[in-house]
Amino acid sequence: MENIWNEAQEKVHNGSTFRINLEKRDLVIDGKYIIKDGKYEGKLGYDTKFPVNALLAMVEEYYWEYLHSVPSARSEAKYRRYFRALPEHELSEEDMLYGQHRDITQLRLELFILIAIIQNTLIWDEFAKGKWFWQSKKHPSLVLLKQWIEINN
Amino acid sequence: MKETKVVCPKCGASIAIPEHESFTAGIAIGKDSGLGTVTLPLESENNSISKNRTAMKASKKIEAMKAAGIDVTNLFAVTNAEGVESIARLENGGLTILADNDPIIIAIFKGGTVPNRRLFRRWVMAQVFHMLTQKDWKTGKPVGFLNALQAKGFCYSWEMLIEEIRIQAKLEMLDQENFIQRNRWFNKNVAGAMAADYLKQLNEHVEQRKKKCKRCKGTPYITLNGNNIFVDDLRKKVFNPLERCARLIKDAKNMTDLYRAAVGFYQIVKEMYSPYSLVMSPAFKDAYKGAGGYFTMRNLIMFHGCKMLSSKGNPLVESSSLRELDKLAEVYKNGEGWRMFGAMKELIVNNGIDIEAKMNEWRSK
Repeated sequence: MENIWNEAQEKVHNGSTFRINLEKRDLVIDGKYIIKDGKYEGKLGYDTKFPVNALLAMVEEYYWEYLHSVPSARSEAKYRRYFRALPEHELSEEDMLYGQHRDITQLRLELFILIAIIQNTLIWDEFAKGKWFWQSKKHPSLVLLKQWIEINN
Repeated sequence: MKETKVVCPKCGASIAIPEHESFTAGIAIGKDSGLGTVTLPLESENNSISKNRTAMKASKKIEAMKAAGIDVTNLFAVTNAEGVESIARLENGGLTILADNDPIIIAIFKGGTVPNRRLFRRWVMAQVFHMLTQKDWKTGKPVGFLNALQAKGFCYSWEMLIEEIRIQAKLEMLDQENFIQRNRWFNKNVAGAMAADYLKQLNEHVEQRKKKCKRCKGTPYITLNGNNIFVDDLRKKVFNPLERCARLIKDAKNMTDLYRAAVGFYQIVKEMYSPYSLVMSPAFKDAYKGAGGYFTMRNLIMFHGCKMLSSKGNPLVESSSLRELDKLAEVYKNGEGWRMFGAMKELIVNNGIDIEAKMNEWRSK
């Protein structure tokens, strides 16, 4: 892919399935590896060279979009998810009407973290040194595990 | 046998008495009974007697609340020593009796709006809003409602229809009002038209295939979804079973029959020929628009303060708007669902709702 960030979103928007493995640094779309073991062809399409606080704030924004996204039968059938989004009965009227599709918000959130990990900008010791998890103060249900970010911990 | 009545000598009002005669131990009331003023309940006020108030059993109330989507895991039906049933709530280890004037119970039983929007098909409205604003990823231009529907793939039309019929089969027995609202759009005629449309498209596809058919020991055959079928066997193996199911759809006497027939038809469709890009039946598209428009309008009127306009152009109150909506639905129900959809767009514009602006506003929170 020439621009993984954009093209992955386009594919998921058009109905492709995807899977992200943060520990293994993999992105699979429609059964094909786009990123494998942190290696890829083309460009990632997102430069995450920001201070770690700014990165975490962006993760929180993507998480909020995901949290309030509109689920579908397919998105709910996913066996493995890193983050928890609100079930349909907890969504407000506005969430239902104006929220985005859950698949695409999940991709954005997970792919953003994966790209930050690959670009080595999300450094664990800079925001949660000595801890095995980090919890957002803004959204307490957003939790990042050290094992996702540091492989040999 | 004559019915026993106790009436007031002055005004003739009937005094409430029990349904059946029974043996009781009691005393005759005299002036010296020391009871003060005794007021006898009138028959017409029977509902105010506390025993009658609990006529709907507590367990049934809990069932109704559950059906309304309320969390009932901490509610229990309890009976006291006098045999009066009440609903109790378990909170912080203590059991508290839920009064009959609890706001939720009042909301449900006064026959007004059940305070749960999930019952009013908010999924339909959400889907309509999303499909109306769906854009092409590259160009950023709206794709249009029908293209957004077709993008769900041909199989979606049958799967959605079958699920709708399954629910209608239940509603037909339990909830006539909702059944009528839904059956206006997705019904036997729509299913029949979809089946006929599919058979026509399949026939055209088979005719195309026949032109380039392969041969096995000189006998021509074609491949349908990976199944090799001799041309001579097409009628027996493909068309006859489909036509039989299509006849069952047409002859269905109720929604349960229709459900079985539609499932049978779709099973063969999936096996034989159901490409993603196969065009959905016009009957389905029209019903989809009709149902989408109708239920979105209901939701807009009931929960978003939208008002229909009278023939003179004056905004109507909620109850009149809903009546007007039902009138429109009755007019448009047979193949004019697209008009219902148009009426929905008009309602949105008349009430100054800009879906896209609202979406942008919400997403930039």
